[in-house]
Amino acid sequence: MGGDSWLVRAAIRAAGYEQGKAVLRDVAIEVGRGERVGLLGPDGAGKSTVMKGLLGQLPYWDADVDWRGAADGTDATSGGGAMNRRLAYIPERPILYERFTLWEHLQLAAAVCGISEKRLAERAEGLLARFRLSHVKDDYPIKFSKGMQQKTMLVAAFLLEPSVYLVDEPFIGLDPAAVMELLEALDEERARGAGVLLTTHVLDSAERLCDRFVLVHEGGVAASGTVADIRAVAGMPDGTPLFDCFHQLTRAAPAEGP
Amino acid sequence: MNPAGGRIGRLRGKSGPARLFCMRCGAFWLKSIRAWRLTLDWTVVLYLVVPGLWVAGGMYLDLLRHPPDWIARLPIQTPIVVLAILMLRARLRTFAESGDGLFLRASGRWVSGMTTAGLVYTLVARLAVSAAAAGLMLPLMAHATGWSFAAGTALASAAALMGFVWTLVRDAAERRWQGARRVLAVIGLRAAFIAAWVPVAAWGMRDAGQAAAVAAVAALVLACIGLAWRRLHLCGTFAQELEAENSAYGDNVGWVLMDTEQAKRPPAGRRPWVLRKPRPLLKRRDEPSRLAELWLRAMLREAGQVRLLLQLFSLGSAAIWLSPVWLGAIAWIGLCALLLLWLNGLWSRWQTERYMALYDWREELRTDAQEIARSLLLCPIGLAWCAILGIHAGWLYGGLWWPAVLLLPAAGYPVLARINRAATVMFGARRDRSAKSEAKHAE
Repeated sequence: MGGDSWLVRAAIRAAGYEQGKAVLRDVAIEVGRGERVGLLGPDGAGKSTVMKGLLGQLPYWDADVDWRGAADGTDATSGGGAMNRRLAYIPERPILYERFTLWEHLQLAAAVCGISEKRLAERAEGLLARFRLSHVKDDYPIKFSKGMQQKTMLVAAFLLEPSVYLVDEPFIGLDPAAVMELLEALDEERARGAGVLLTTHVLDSAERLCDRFVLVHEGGVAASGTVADIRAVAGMPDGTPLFDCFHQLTRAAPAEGP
Repeated sequence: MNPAGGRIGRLRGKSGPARLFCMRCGAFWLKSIRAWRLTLDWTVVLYLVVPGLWVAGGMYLDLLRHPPDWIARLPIQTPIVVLAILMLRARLRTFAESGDGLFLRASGRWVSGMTTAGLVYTLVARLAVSAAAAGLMLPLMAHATGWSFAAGTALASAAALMGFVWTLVRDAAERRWQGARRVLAVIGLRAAFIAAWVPVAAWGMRDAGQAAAVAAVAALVLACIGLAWRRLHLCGTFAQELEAENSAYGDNVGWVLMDTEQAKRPPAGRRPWVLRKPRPLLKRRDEPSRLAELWLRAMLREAGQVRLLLQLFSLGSAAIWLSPVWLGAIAWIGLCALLLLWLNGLWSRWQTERYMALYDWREELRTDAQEIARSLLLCPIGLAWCAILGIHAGWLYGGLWWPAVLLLPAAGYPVLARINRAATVMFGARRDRSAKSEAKHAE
């Protein structure tokens, strides 16, 4: 990805959970307008560490992260990386507050992110209908099933209409209809110009859905680029599924990082 | 060399439901004691708990040696009601853990062994609690009622057996109903138990002959055996057992770990019981007001917080009413400052909840919302205390002092607003200092 269409660019020199102890080194990620980037890797490779770092949750984070609009002040907020009009995070495990109804979760998101009540009503009603949650909007999401809780997080994220979505394992806990709704909603957001960075273990889906990939392995980047680039790095012929390339790279290749 | 896990660890390597039960029971109490020690460290124990126990023990001995007149005037139902309150807090304990679902629950021998151990533990716990309460209360009551040691023992035993029956009935009710129906069912059953226990026990202690008392205790024993036998042979109780264990741990450590995830309890119903409708509470609809309103909704749905708030309001009202007017006015300022600090703590804790922490709060928005949120509870309570002060002044001096009922709240409102504003500035300065110090430390 190059040119001027980037939304976020992160050059991570080192990151980890303790000062000075890096579990991630020399990882570069860029998400462009309308682009879906897959952040792939085996368990413990550092995918979630990247996500947490971008969200500003890591104690050790030596990186340059540029957000489009942040420098010229057109889209700048107080920073810190948590959810705002620039970035929405959909976690793997739903994060909910036990004393709020579904509607109140959305009200909080709207109020913190500067969305008017009129806009909240317009946007949220459509999203609730899309994810088939309208009938439970005055119920406690903490009492929902896992899939419905995940949908609550999706609605809260889509409500913000951010520039970039960080989506952690989006297919876990959702029924097939909800996965379709999620993908459609993400496509609409991409058409608006938003970018998506998603982590997943479902490589078949990732291959179909993502434009580019960053394959993280042992705390560094094993390969990145389009499927063709990944095949080339893995030394696999044309038509090889991403799954086989992934297997080849994570089995044989050490990380490129130091 | 000691095996890992200390005293509990020594039981490891030996199989059997009873041993596993003992290990879990020991682990539960060790975990609870460790949680209590977060608050009750040696300084608190040395300077507060030990002197408190010493003073309370001395007062108790003094009451025994020189019983005051009011003890003789206490109705004989008093110790019976206290025993009833203690019995109705109990629940059936099995020390089930979620991991049991993998293997242990597949074995009928282990399930029935653990359940039997749980039933025995629950009965022993009821006996211990009732004996301790009766042992403290009845020597005092004996002066007034003339109850013998045997009568006291019979009352404590009956309370323990009744408590055991209650745990099994509660267990059945909680398995049968969910949400609001469960809460209503447990409240109804509690009322029914009190209504059945208090008059019958009072009659037994006052009028019934020995034969009737023995028959009543025998009937309770039979009820215990029958219900325990039935419970022992039930299937599909695992989910309820896990829930009961979580609640028991929450009851045990909730007062220490109220800020943590461990002591949190999900709401009972599917929908809120307080402020069910999303109708706006405030006229102003700017962002800080909307956030303050959401905080207020959350606080009013926390039964524990509401109870504390009402207790503080009642104590404050009593302090203002019982003091001379000039001292009441000083107490009003102190109470409002205390309330403001407490509300500020509630906001800070709420704002660090994981869901709230997901979002990027602008500093200005956070400060404005916090100030409005504090005022939503500070003003009504502070103004109510003002009105109480005014009523007290009118009550004491009459005539021209009665308008103080209205004038004091009218004068109190700007004072409260000013105090709240000053608190915002003070907390902001403290936050800035803390941020600078952290930044310096990071460098």
